[in-house]
Amino acid sequence: MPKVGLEAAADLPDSSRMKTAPAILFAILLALLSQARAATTNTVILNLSSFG
Amino acid sequence: MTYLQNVAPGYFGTALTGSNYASWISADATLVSPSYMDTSPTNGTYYNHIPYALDKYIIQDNGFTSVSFSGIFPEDYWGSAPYDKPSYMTDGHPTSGFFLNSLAAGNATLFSILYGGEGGGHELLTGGLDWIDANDAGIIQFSENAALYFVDQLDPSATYPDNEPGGGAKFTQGHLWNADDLITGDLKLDYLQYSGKLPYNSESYAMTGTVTIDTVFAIAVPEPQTYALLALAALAGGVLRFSREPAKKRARPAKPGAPKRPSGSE
Repeated sequence: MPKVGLEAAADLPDSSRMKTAPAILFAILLALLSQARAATTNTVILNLSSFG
Repeated sequence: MTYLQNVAPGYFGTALTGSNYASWISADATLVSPSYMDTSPTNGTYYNHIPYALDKYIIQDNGFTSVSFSGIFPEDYWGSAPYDKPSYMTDGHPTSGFFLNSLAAGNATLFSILYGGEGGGHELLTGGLDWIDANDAGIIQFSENAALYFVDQLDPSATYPDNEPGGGAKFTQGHLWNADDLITGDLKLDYLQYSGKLPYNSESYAMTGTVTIDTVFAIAVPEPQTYALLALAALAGGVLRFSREPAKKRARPAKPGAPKRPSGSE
């Protein structure tokens, strides 16, 4: 039966594992970046002198 | 009324509340009278009287027909005629979006707060909202420390010389957030409120505890820029027509068989 995921990765030769680890890290980083959103500033302050 | 006069002096002049203390008192006495807000020391002012009183005073009595209203009131705040829901009013609970849009438009934006328990309510006039939506969620989270600025008639003056109001409006700052960190959560507020009377006592402030913003009502002010643009457009239209008129006449081909205008008639 073909192996998938970590079990499959464990069977890869050492040189292949070295390439897989950065790729996984990069994917995690991308996922985290897509979660983080920029802050939005919502500021409206009227002129106090208009109030009296 | 003072705010409306100040932001659109060319439109309102001093018709709404005059320009001195005696005229402010007179306008105030009219607005709290039974035909308007019907304010009483024991019952205060009923929410649903406020839009009708301001409509009557600003538009019907004073004829400022370019003023328009909008707002959000809970559906069950309306009574029977004449205090049933006006067509411009939205059912529901006030939102941060309404505040931001109304402030950006320069409207006079009134809102009411409901104290916890049997504490009744209070009406305030907002002057600003300062909120950095840190996670861009569209929800004012408690931890985002949004600030709502408003004029509180319990503490309206920037200075109190001789412990009496000295003039110049004062913005009170409150902490604003959406209940339960939900976009559908009611707007909540707490602030340090003046709890004394006159003569002014700078020690008499107490935290309100968490209050709910239950209504918001905006009076849209005619924009001077709009009038200027309309005037400019009318002027430009007039000039264009004036300058094109001879050219059109020159370019108009004569219809075959059409009677010719006698020369010298133009």
